[in-house]
Amino acid sequence: MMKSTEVFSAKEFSDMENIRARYQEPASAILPLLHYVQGAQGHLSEQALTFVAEFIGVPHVRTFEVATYYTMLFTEPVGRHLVQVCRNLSCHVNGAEEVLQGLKRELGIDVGATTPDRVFTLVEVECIGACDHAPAMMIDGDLHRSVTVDSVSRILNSYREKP
Amino acid sequence: MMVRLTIDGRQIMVDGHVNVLDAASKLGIHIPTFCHQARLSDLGACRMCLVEVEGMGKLQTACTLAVNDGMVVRTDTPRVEKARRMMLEFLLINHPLECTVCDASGECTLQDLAFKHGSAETRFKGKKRILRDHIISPLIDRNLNRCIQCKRCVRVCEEIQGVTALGMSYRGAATVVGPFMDKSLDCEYCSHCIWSCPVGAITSRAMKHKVRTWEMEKSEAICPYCSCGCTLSYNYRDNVVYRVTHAEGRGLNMGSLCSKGFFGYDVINHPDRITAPMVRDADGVLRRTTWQSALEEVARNMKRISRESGGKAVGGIASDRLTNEDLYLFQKLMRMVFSSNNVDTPSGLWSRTVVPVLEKRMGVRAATNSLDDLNYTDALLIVGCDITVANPISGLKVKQAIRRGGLVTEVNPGKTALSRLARRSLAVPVGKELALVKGLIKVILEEGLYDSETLGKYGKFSELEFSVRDKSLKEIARETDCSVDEITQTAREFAGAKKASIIFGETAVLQAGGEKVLEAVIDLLVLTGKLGQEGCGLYPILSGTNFQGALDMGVSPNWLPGHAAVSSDSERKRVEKAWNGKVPKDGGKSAYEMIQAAAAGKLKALYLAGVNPLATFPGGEDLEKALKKMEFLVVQELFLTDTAKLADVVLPATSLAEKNGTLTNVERRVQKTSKAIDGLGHSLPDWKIFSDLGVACGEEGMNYLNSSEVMDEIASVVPFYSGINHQILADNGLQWPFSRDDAREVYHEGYLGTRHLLPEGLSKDKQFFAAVPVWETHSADSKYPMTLVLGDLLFHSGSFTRYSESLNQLAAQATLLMNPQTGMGLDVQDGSSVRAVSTQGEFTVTVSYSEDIAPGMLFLPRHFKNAPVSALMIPGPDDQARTAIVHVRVVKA
Ligand code: SF4
Ligand code: SF4
Ligand code: SF4
Ligand code: FES
Ligand code: FES
Repeated sequence: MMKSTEVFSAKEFSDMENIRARYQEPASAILPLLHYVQGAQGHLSEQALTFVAEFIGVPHVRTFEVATYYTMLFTEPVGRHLVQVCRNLSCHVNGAEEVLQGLKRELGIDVGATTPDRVFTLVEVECIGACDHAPAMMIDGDLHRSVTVDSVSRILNSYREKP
Repeated sequence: MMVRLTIDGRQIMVDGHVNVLDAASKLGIHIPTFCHQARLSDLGACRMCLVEVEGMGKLQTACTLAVNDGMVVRTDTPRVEKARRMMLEFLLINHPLECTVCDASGECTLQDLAFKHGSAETRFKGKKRILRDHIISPLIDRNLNRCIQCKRCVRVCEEIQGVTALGMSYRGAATVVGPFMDKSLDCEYCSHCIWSCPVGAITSRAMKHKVRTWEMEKSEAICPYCSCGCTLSYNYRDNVVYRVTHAEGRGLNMGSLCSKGFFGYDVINHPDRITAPMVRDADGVLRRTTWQSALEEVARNMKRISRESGGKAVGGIASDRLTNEDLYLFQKLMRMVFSSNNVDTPSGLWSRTVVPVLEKRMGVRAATNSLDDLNYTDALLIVGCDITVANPISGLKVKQAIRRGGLVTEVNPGKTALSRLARRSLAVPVGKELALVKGLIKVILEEGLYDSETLGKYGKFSELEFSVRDKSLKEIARETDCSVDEITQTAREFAGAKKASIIFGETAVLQAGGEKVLEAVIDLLVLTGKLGQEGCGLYPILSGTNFQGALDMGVSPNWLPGHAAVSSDSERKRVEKAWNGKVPKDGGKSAYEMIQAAAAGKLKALYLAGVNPLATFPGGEDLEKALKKMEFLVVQELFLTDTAKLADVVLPATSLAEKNGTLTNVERRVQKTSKAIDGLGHSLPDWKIFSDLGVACGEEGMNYLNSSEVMDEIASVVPFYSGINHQILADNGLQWPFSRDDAREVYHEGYLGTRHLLPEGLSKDKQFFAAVPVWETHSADSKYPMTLVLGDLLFHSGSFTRYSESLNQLAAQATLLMNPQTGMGLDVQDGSSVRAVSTQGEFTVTVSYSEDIAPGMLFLPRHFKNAPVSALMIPGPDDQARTAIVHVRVVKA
């Protein structure tokens, strides 16, 4: 069994213990725990996935399955800011494609990649529930509505200096 | 509750718990499926099994739909047919049409169903999905693009094998099947996933692109690699076995196999097989010759030495891997033709340690119950045995029991593959198992958890109580590295379970004083009344394939066929009458004693059949010296082993795939194994060689036409085999004791014979307790303070499988496992080299840190050339032999 100190700070570990304690079945804590680690460490490393699996008594592959299933969980380190562009129907017909092209151009990377300065990671997502203001995108926790190719650069710039 | 339903206009009554798919199959109506597989949980993912049900608007998946009274189902309407075609069209959007190079071609469900229901045209014009893929293992091939996401591999790995090495990661069209982090597979290589995959997405690399499935013929046989006795299917063409497949639903394994059974077949057509007899010529070189001249050479020398120096000067050791027919003729040859009771097998030590105790305490000489019982056990105690290695498919049955809620407690010097699943895994130091078992007895006595019937018979348990009085549970817990709670809970669970059994193995018994552990284990069973019924009994487990058969056949210096004592005049007479020949009167020598006698120049001729002492026997250099001293050494083998290289005559034998015969497994089940291919080159089945040799010695009583004739003779000599013949075994195994006119003969789920021994309980003279007074079997010696456990690895079975290139890919080297804590104490690093020294000898080996092994204990796999444990093991005599547990000193190299 892995030691927590190999992957987590004392604070992280105690938070995780609290999360686990909320559930009668430790295994039920899988998603909240992974979500927590994603937030705390920016991604789910192999060691983190191994530890969480052992922490709640499930086979290792189980945390990997969950981590790769959800779009908000990452097994590779991502940039400081996560740009999620909606590609679903409403956004698509309202010009999501152009917005995406604009983002790619502006950041100089492809979908799924991270800028060399590790500031931005660009991903596509399905409907984020903002169809009434399509095309929409999310950066970290912020929703950006009715995005246009021209607004892309300004929006990105407002994040460059943010931690 | 039974319900009546109508399927395609036909009525059927079925159990209310089954689903529509099963009900249809009872009527012989075949509904196509992908994700459904017998023994797996139902998933309903592929939607290939859609059927129309009256009153239900949408089509339903037959595999998940429970039957209902009055249900009307149709599987043959145009709507159903259209749905099937559509499902196939969806799958074929992405499935690459590469049947031309796919190893599953010919036995692929997608291919078959597309042929039957599909359309040759697709309406989909886009590009096929192409997923990035890589090799995940040297033996198991994955092809992601062929995967239809049925999840059978994932479920079988979790639900049957209990490993959960595979998962479904990512999502949607990008979903892939694979190991953790999509790395290489680190698993038990049981092959279940290969078996389960309905398409060619998971296949065996061992047969990749070697042969087409439809070119091979199949034939069922018994696996040669352990005493579980699984049924497998050899697939062959042009006298070459190209693969092994699972014999669906057959045998006690229901088709399941382990890594050895599935991948170990490449020893059969191995290029190094010896295919002609060889005799050492005047220049000392082994040269190929004819059978006639080789057998004449053996006959002349063996007879001469036996005549000149007496029968005691010749001896023979045969492998417990041989069939009953081979083994029976071997001892008959040695006894009757060469006048010697010097016959033994490498498992003889186990038999001489375990069987006398079983006999004394219970009047039995084998496992009391059936392996099948393990599936349904409520509480199981495993002492000194890694069941997942010694008997992998029995281990699978234990895993099934755990899934059903069975409470399993392991008492081993470390963790096993079962530990993650078991209720508890007690890492008890070797030597302290006795204390643990006595601790359980103590709890049961103190809490009054014993069986009332036993109490009624025995009146009181004062002796037993006295024997556990002098230590408190606290002390016991401290000595065994367990907690009081663990001991108490284990005792309560065991005593309180309806079906409770005990498994024990080599690590418990083949240590100094090991028979005391067995005595205590039997006390525990008797005290709790867990004997003589279905689900309650004792399983002594040794992995040697036919160790039970070797004992039954009398390959033993002191026992004749049928466990009859050599020393008994009447028994000898009985056998002599059957043979129309003589059986020497004095007991013979054990394997160890034969080697001793050879070293002393007293044993002059030795016949080795399928054994390679230099690789497996204790004794190191002394052993080699003794073998070199032999005046005449015969080695009957598949390969030119190190021992064979010393022989005067080498006789080429066949593997199990090349002969007919029977094997007796660990639960007394006699099973027929059948020849798949002809013997390679001039090689002959062992029984045939013994028979021909007997005839060459002028003994007509050794003349047999086939192995079936040999079995007929066995049935007339071994009382509890009476009535057994090859015909009766054609389809099913049979558990001895058996006799055709025996009232106890039962026919149960396709098996014949006696499933449970001791139905009447213990006889009057056996109603006592051993009440072992001491608490430990032995303690460490200050000069050799470490306890080294010598054992097997899951991927190998003796030195024989070292000829399997496939299995060598999984494990090719031995390393000395030790707990990091032990390592730090000794100041040896992970990966460093150490010398292991016992009173017998020493060698150098690399250390691997492992949390799985208890602190203070060491583990080393046997049978690897880089770690010749022969040098460390202490050969004997029997009561001093140390072959499973050796005390050593570890020093930095
Ligand atoms: S070989 Fe067995 S243990 Fe390994 S992944 Fe396949 S099913 Fe699981
Ligand atoms: S690999 Fe085979 S068994 Fe596993 S999900 Fe894919 S098709 Fe099914
Ligand atoms: S469990 Fe034993 S008999 Fe069964 S396949 Fe494995 S080695 Fe062969
Ligand atoms: S489709 Fe883009 S937010 Fe709903
Ligand atoms: S077989 Fe019924 S849904 Fe797959």
